[in-house]
Parts: sequence; structure tokens; C-alpha cells
Amino acid sequence: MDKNTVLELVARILPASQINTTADDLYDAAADRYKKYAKARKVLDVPPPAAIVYPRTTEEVARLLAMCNTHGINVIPRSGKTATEGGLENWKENTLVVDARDLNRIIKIDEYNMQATVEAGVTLQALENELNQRGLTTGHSPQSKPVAKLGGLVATRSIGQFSTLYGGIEDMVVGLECVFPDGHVARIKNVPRRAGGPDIRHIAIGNEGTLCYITEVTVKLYRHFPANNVFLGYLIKDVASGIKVLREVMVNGYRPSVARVYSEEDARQHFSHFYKGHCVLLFMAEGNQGIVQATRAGIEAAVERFKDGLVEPVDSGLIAAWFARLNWSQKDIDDEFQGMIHNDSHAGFTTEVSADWETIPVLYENVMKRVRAEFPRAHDLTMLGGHSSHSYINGTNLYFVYNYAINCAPEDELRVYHHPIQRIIVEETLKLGGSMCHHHGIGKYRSEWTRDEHGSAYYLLEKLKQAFDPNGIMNFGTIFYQAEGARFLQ
Amino acid sequence: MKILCLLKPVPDVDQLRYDRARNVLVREQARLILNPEDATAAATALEIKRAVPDTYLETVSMAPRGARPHLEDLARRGVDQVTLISDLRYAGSDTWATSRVLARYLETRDYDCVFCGTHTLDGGTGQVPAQLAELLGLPVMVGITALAELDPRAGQAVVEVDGERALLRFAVALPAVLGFQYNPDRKLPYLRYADLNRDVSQQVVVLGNNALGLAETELGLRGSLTQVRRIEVDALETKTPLRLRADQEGLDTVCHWLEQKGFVQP
Amino acid sequence: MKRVLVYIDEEAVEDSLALLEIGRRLYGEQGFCAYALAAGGGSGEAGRRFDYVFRARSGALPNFEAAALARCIAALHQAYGFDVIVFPATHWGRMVAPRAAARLRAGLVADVTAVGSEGGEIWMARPAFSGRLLATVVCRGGGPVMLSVRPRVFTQRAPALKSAEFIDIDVPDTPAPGVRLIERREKPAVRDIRESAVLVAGGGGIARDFPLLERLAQALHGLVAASRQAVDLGSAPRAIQVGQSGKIVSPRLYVAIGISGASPHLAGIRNAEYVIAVNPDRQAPIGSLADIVVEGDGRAFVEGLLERLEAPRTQSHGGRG
Repeated sequence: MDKNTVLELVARILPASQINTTADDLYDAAADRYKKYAKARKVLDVPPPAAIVYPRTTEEVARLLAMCNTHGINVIPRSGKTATEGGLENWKENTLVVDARDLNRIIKIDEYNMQATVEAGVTLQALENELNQRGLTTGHSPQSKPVAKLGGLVATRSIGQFSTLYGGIEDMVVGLECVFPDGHVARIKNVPRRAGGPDIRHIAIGNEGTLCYITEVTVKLYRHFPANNVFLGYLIKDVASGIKVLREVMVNGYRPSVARVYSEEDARQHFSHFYKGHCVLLFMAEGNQGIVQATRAGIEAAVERFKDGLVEPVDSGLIAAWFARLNWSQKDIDDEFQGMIHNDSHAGFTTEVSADWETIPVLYENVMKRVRAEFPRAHDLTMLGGHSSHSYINGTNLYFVYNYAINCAPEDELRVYHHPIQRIIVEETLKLGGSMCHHHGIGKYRSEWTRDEHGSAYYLLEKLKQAFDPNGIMNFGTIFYQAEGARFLQ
Repeated sequence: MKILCLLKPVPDVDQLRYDRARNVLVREQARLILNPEDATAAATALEIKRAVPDTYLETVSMAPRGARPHLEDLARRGVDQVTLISDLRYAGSDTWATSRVLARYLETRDYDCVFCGTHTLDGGTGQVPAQLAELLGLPVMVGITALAELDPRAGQAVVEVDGERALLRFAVALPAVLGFQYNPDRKLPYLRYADLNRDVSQQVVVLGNNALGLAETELGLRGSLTQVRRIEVDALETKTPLRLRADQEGLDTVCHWLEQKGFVQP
Repeated sequence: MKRVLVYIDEEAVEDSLALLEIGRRLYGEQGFCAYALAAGGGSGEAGRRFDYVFRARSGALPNFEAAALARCIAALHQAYGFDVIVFPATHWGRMVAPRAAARLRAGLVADVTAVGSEGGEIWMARPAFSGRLLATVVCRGGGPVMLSVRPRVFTQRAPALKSAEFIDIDVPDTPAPGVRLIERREKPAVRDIRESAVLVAGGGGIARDFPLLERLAQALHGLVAASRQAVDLGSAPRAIQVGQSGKIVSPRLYVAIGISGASPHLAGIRNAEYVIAVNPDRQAPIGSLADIVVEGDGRAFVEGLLERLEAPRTQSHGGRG
């Protein structure tokens, strides 16, 4: 089948106004932020999709998927385009990018029952703006909030900056609607809880477009007390000291919305104006006054208990000011793109993992040592560090952050720099029993380790794929390793 | 045609440490980068080599051995020979001692022209090109923004210099020392993945004072004509700014400061 | 009596003459004899400030003839035995000084910002590593102390008027004329911000007043640059955007007006030697790189500064040098 046939089939379902075949847009749709540098330099090695389509109803989504299923056309579900792990990258000649742009209605904000229902293409910011006016919030606040949309946030098991209090998106979704490749529309109803067999929400949440297309989402709402926010910051001696304080706060039952530890190098790029060459520990407590005061006291007690690791406190105004500038907008994304055209550098790469409390400090040290010793281009690294930014009762995450002077051709950048470092991080994490993918999703470039990530439980994932997408049309190469795509994984 | 290009790996300023006891900069742990103006010079030479393939290009660096990975990349980028002059006894060399080592090595080489950057990021004195030229008895021109002509047979180079007030064009007799100005658009060619692990050991020459044979009294701190007595490193951390308000007093202070630093005429 | 030789760059005569201040600081007003080498021009002006002025007998020897000039300096030193030789750190002074120092086997210290003596030994301070470090340096060996000084780093107090004795010297033979000027063109107006020694950069806080920044840039002989926010607001073209997503610059002076200094912006100016930051927010991150933080309104600051810089300079603000 050629691309024209694909377009003819699509034209039977959608009017021309909902089909985009503009060359620039198709080039842009060939890859996501994972290949941002190659994309900016116009050296992408992956094919553009045949078209980007914009369904307006669930029914149109169902007809598109069923058609693709019949004809073996690859489908990439897409909404806010902020994917960072190749989830939106295209590896097939015949691909339809199904964009939720026009599924953009806020269906209902139910203040009494504290839940809101939106279509997949609503940006989180648009929803939050509506909610904040009413003194409410979803509690979800990823850095991509101004751009990311609800469909994608749910499909990738997104997490936000306030997760330590509100949890990840999986803790927020009460129900949803999704469409399967055979055209079946499934609606999971919105109830406070159920014991109706396994929690089937989780088949859709985090499927990364490999099983179904999410069209509608209902999330929980919380009262919003931004005026009560309290910020606390400290300079500390090392990452391990900070992790001890995080654990102390968590196990004592406090739930600050933000609880982070930055390595010295990572601190330098965020807090160069106050970090003084040290690691940084910071918190934000939010909620009603009583909770905020108690949380603050709990944090201060934890810091006091581990004061051997403390260098000095930081003016909380500095933390608040930093936090206010943290999110990136579409402008930031466009700007980084422009910068990559002119300079042999980008804003860096990240790999996010998680593990239990006792493993995390060991993992951090192991990765640092191994990258410095084994990475052949270690002399090009301009920064290598990380931070912990999402804590749980049994452990926390580590966000490895690294950047380098790009001394190779733009088309070689990933395999010269990012891939070898990512490999070390993933291998070390799996060796110690952690998860290689804390919140960005597996995407395409960690698919070679999906089996290792899940071990014997991979059986469940595999069966899901076979059951719901027997023809393998959903987001080829994402989550599930494909030998055919291996050439991109070098 | 044979071009020698001086190339200095300089430490990333953010990672500098200073050994107060020995009064020398500890460069070993700092990440090294190629001095940007030297990289412009090398990129210019590589452009010439692409246009005139029988051009032979050798880079010469005086640096700690840790610079070797950076220098090996130069061979992968098309440099014919990469020379690293490295000797612990050279530690602490000032520009004079450095020029003397470089001159001693250059005396053993055949060349039509010596390329280099005008300034380095670290010391920033810009003294080596002219000192070296004097030691070798060659003409020198620095601050070159463009090389219009390089013709060893005619024995001259034509260069453009961005002077303070005018753009100048000079004919310089070869061999000569030509110092280039930083040009962000003239970059070293990219490394290719296929070349990354190419064995270039045959193209890398590492030599020390045993080969060059300078007298002990000419080496390092002893061979230097200037000596650092004291370093104020506080500036290495964040600066502590002078804090003013945008009032009359603040404006007067800024004006005076601008005069003091030479940005406005008093 | 100590002897101080100043090299006069004919393209920066006033700046060269002002280097007499070095002698005054080291030896006091009466403590030294002032010699000028004005081989390429400027001997007339030098004659009113120095005790002795050397001229080239055969006619002007231009500043780019570094090899010949170095020989002149060496020959003069043989004859007069200078204690100190000072060069303006101009483009040409920087080319002559190292050659002369190499001929004399004398230590040379570039871009000196302070001098003094201690136990009979002259020390000089100079910034290195983009101003992050200040080194105090001494010269060793028997030669004269040689140094270069950037224009206007030292301001001279009302110089004493003198009537110099002019001495015509022969230019020593050089092997061959190595450098020949073939063309001189005045500079075109449009310049790249990466090449400017002074940048006046505006951010979101002053986005409406970029014409004002142009005037300030002119007064400081620099160019206007902009933060990403100012570019986004349409106040400035992307070509003058500074930062990770714009251009990485390394000016001597960066005046940041209404720029808070997000880390991508700071990454673009890390090599600036001096930074003046003007911002209503005293905690703006730009302060971490600044030499001077002016807390207040950017527009008021620029207007006030322009009033001072553009006014006829009847009265000196300086003098304390």
C-alpha cells in the first residue's frame, strides 16, 4: 500500500479540513522531543507519517482506528506533543497521526462531586485556569502543564511537581473513555471506588497509545489554597543527606507537595544564584492552614534530625521565585528549537528512574562512577547530575540530568552521547531492582529493556497487546520491542 | 603546503581549582575545552585542506596528558598530525616559557605558516603568538577575521583584520604567525559516528622535554620571567556585587565605575 | 632617577599618554624620568607631557611593524636602561609588547589593572579567566618590568605640562619588511553582538524602551542585545538575542536592563568580564553574575545615565582613578 491509498481511505471518513498533509507539519510529526536536535538540524532519519488527522468525535476516532486495523496502517495517537521518549516518533511509512486537537471540550466541572470531565485534547492549563477561578485544582502540575493535554498525560502515566501530595495521574483518574483498534468504545464509569475485578482503568492509563486511544478523561478535584503555600530550602552536603531527610519527612506521614534534592551539578543549573557549590534540598507545603503548618514543622524537625548533612538554610523567597519560573511553555520549546539550529548544543537530556530508599543513594553513586569511567565521550560532558523530585512511602525517584558539548554530526548525537549514558543508567537501575521509567513512559528508546523491566510479569503486558491490538497497528515500536525498529535504537 | 596550528586545550572556568600552596592552577581535574579562537584557526586550516587536498596540517598543543582525547578528535576531524607536548616539568610555565618550548619544537619542523588564536580563554594575555614570532624571527599578525589568500609559492598571505576603527588588509610574508579572531560560524567539522573509535594513534605524537632538550633552568616556574605571587580566587565563586539603587548616588557611582574601567572618557 | 618608557600607539595617542600614570603610581610625580617612543606618530602630544620623546629618523614607523618596533625598544633599552616599559593594550600594542619582551628576555604582564611596589619589587594585578580570578604577578630576571594596560583603566590626574627633548633614532635593520598594509576601509555599521566589547541588553522589563537602550549603547560604544522575553515581545530581532537559545557572547561589559536572568540567559553571558544588572527585583538571579546590581526601574536608570553621559563633559566625575 502506498501513501496515496492511505489518504484515500482517510478521505472516506473525514473531510479534507480534518486532514493535514503539509510537508513541514509531517516532518514535525515524524519525531518528538527525543530527536529534538536532529529535527532542528533537519537530519531526521525516520519517515514522516502519511497524514495528521483531527477527529472531532469519539465516533470518528473509532472509524479511523477500525479502518487502520483493517488495512494495517500504523496509528500514532497524539495530543500536546510534549513526549520526550520517542512515543510520538514514527517508524512506519504508512502512519496516521491521530491528533486530539479538536477533541477540546471541557465537558463538565462537577464542584459538588469534586470531579471534572474533559476531552483528550484539552490542555491541562486550560482546565486548571477554569478550576483555579473556582478555588479548585486537579493537583497535577507537570513542567509541561501549559502545553500538555489530558489525553497524553493519562496515556503516558504522567506525574506532576506536586505528586508527593496528590500522586501521579493514575491516582487522579476516576474514569475514562477509550477506543480500541477494532472500533470498540469502552467507557469506564466514574465512581469513588469499586471492587469489580482488576482495575481496568490501568489498561488505558500508561498504554502510550499501544492498546487504545483515550478520548475522554474524568479526574478528581481538590480545593486550592495557593495563598497558604510555604517554601523551604536548604543547602546540603550531598545527595545521600538529602534523601535521608526526604525519607524522614515521608515516613513520619507528612505530605509536602514538593520535596526535592538536587545534586551539586544539577543545582548549579537551576540555582546558580544561591547554591554556593552545594546540593540543594527544597520543599513546598500546601493545603489548608493547619496542614501546611504541621507539614512545615515536620520538615523542620526532619532537617534538624539530620543536621550533620546541612550546610545552611536558603531564603524561602528564592525557592518561591524559582518555582514560579519552572514551567515551560510552547515559547520555551520553540526557543530551544531555534537555539539548536544555531548552536551545537541543546538544553540537555534526562533519564528518570525510581527505587526504594536504601537503593537510591547507591544507584546514584553507581551511575555517576560508571558514566565517568566508561562513557567514551566523558570529556565532552558539560554537566552530569540529577535530582529526586517525587517521593513515596517506600522510596523515591531519581532524575538523571546530563548535557554535553555536541562534537559530532547532528544525526549522530543520540548514539554518540545520550544512548550510551541512558544504557548505563537503565542497566544500573535494573540491576538494583529499580524501575527504569519513573514517569516519562518507555517510549521507543527503552523498549529493548521492557522485558527486563517487568521480568516474569511481562507476560501480562504481552497478552494485553495480543488481545487488544492483534494486528500491531497501535504506535509501532513503543513499549514493545520491535526487531524491525532496532536500527533506530543504536 | 604545510600549516602548523597551535591549539590550546583550556580548562572550563567553572571547574577551576587553585592550589594555594604551590601557587598554580590545578587544571588536571577541570574539564578541558579547545580554546575557541584556536578552534577557529584550526577550522580555517581544515577548510584550506579541503580546498587544497595536498595541504599538510599539524596541530601543536602544550597541555597536560588529560588533553589527549580532545586532541585525538582532531585527527578524526582531518588533521594529519596531532602533536601533544606534555611534561610535568612544564607545569607553571608563563607565556615566555611556553613560547620557548613551542619555538624549540617548531625549529624542528618544516612549515609555510603558523596558525593560532589571538587570545586564550584562560590567561587571556594573547602574548604567545608574538613572543613565538620573535623567537622564530617571523612576522606576526593577530586579530585576523579572514584569510583572503595563502600562497606559499608567492611567499605571502593576505589577511583581514578588524581594527579598532577600520577594516584593514595586510600582506604578510611567509612563513608567518597568523592569529585568528573567534568566528562562531567557522567551526571545526563534525565528528562522524563511524570515525569515533577510529584508531588515530599513528597520527598522535606525544613528546616531552627529553625530546626537546631544554635546560632545566628554562622549564616551568623556573624558566618563567613572570611569577604569580597571589591569586584572589573569591571571584571564582559567585561574584559579590556592589548593590546600588537607581537614584542620584547610584547613578554617580555607576558613572564613576564606567570611567574607572575605561568604558567612558572622564 | 627611575626611567619609564611608554610606547605610543599612534591610533590611541591619548590612551597611550595616560599610561604615564603608571610611573606616577610607582615612583611619585617627581620620582621618574618619562620617555615616550612615538615612532608612528603622536610625538607632538607626547612632547607636552614627557621628558624625552623618541621619533623615527627615517619617517613614521607604523604600529603594525611589530618586529622593527621591538628592535627599536630593545636598542633604546640598551642605551637607557629603563626600569619600566608600558604599552597600551590596544590591538597593536599587544602585538609589539610581546616581541619587545622576548627580545629583552624580560617578563611581560598583560592587562594590568593595579600596580604597586613591595620591598623594592614591583607587583602588578591582572584579571584572568574572564575576570573570575585576580592574579598578582611579579617579573623575574634582570630585564625591565614590562606591562600592558587596557585603555582608560588608569585615569591620569591633571598631567603636568612639560617640554620634551626630541630624540631621533635610527630604526635597526630588520631582516625583511614582514607586514604590508594594502587596504584600509572604514567599518560598516552593522555588527554582530558577539563581536562587540560592550552590550546593553534589554529584557521584558524594558521591552517598550529599546530606542533608549540604543542611545545608551551608542554612548558606551557598544551594541544593543536582548533577552528572549524581549524578542518574544517583538521589541528586538532574534539576531540580537543572548542566551542558550540565542547567541553566546563574551563582551567586556554587559549591561542587563530589566533581565531577571533565567539560567539559559546566564549561560549566554558567563564569559562577560563585567556585568551591571538593573532590576526592580533585588533577588533576580542575574545578580549572581553581576559586578554591580542596581535595584530599581530600568527606564529611570537609563535616562539618568544618559543625562550624565550625553551632557557636555565640563566637569569630571572621576579623578579618584
